[in-house]
Amino acid sequence: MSLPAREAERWAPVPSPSRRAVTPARPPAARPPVPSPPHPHRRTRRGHLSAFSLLTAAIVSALVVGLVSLNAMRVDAAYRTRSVAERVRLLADERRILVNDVARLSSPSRIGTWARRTGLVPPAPGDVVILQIPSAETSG
Amino acid sequence: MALALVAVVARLAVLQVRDHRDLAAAGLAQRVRPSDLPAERGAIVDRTGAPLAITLEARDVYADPRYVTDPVGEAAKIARVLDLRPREVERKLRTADATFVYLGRQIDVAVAERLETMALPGIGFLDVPKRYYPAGPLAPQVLGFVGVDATGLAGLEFEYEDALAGTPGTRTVELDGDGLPIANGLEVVEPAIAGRTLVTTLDREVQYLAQEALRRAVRENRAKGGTVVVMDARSGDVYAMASFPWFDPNDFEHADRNATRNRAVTDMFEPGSVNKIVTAAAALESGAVGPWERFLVPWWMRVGGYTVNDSHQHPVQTMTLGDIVAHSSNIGSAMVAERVGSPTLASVLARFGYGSPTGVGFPGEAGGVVPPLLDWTDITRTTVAYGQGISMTPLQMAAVYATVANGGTWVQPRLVRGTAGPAGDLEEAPGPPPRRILSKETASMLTRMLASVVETGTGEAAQIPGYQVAGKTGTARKLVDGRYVRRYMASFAGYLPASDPRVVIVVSIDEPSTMYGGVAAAPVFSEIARHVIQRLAIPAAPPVRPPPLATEL
Repeated sequence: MSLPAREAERWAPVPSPSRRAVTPARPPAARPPVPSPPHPHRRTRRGHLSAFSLLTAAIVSALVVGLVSLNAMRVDAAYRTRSVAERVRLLADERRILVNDVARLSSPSRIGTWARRTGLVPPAPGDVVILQIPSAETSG
Repeated sequence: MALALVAVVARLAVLQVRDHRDLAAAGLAQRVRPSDLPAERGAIVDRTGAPLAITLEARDVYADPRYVTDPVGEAAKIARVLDLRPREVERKLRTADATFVYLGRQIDVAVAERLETMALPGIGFLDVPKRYYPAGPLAPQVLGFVGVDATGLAGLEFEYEDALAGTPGTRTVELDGDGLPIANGLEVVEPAIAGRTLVTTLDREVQYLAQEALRRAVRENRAKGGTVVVMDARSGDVYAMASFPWFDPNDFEHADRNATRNRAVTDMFEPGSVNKIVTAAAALESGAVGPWERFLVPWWMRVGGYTVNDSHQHPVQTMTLGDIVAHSSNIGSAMVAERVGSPTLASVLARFGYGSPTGVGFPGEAGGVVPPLLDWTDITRTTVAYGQGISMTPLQMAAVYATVANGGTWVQPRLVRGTAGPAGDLEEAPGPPPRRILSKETASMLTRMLASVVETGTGEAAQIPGYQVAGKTGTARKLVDGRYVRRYMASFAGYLPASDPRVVIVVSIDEPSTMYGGVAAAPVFSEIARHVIQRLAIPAAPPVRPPPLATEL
């Protein structure tokens, strides 16, 4: 691949001054730095590098954001799990308390005490009549 | 400078290379705290599933005296809430060189929360389990109780500790500098496995009725105590097992030690005349005496240098085996035993399980005492025939009567049906298979004799209108310090309905002023049986025929 003509001209070598036109005692002017000609592929690679860097940065950023988000979600879930576990524990405790209350309130001794206080008495032996029903399964 | 750099590098190498494992472990140990997850203790329920023992959360209240600013003021507040003496609390709050002093153990959560709201400096709280017995003093000796460390100390709580206690778990958590869990940190939980629910055969209604009847009988007879066993004749399930005096297991620390014994299983007594049924069984089973055979029975006789007699003076009477059982003749029983012979009588006693625990699954079960056959003399055989000189537990007596009620088949008495998991899956407790002790014919004849005891004999007070009861009274002298004294154990053992037995009841009253089993114990049997008929909906059954009696021959 060759450079275009104008570009080649621009980068052509500067002609050296003629001996006849020498002026006395003047130091030679500093020569401007001569930029080295660009590598033919260099500009393209830079562009690629920029794109790659951008892409990498984007991916890394996305990963970091994702990771942080996931972590935050995990922490949030952990808090919620603990909260739910605590609630389950409290409800289980409450349930046991209620079971205990039901058992206590329905206990025969409590009902018996309550019945006596309200004047109820067991039936006298003669007050309960057993009915004999042949071939029947009930009595009382 | 270079030397310092070299020293730093060397130190770094030591820390990072040589000691890194130990340091990492030490760091982890600082952050990570393993803690026990206590397993919830299984409940104890009755046969209907009603809870008899349950574990709830409670609080231990403690003080760190270093942080208590006003011992007098705090002691007054704490004492008021915990119902303690202020001086005692103040003494604890002033304990020198202590960082932890208990102020109260297993305090109800509601009470502890009242104290918590006061935010007293230096006062702390610990979550602990506490065992509650919601029915109060209902079968307390059977259930037993649990110590402050949640370990069963007596009764079924002790016997079934492994099943009830469960398996504790562990929770390992990474903590921050303030001791709070790091949300994203390490957390390893090995969950605790809750204890299994113990399903008993007790029926809390029957248990209560039995206890009430027993309490009344003990008071009315001015007795020392008493026991009642109510058992399913067919399955051996114990519906009620009561011992008076009793205690409240919610407050077992203050219970009288005497009241904590399950007398029905751990106490032995000489059965007296209730044992005559075994003598009669041996006679019939061996064929040594037939039911129609007649004896001329005086009211006293000499045996081996000793005089034995009936409880009441009477002229020489003609009696069959049925009469001897019905009228509870000691002399008649002694004459029958003489015909049976010591080896046969001892053999029948052993088959009924005398001298061995029933295997009901209760700690400290007594097996009773039967003298070795080699030591038997004529007087041993004679006294054993009417229930003296041997001893047994009320539960053993119930098992004997259940065998007769079952047509001669012995069933294992049991207090526990099994254990149930969280899903309610019942794992039945294994037990020995039933075994035949007597022939059906012998058992049937014995039932006829026992029915005549209640209809015409010494057990009339056990009658229930509409139901035929089979049973036997017993009045045994007590052996105190190797001598028989004029103190008695009155008992009644029986079952109903006689022709289709469903329930066996044994009542023993210790040292009643009324002395006799027919007076002190038989009415208790009747009262409990009437309740049980209604509770278990036991239908009446046709009566059995009376046994051959001398008056009818």
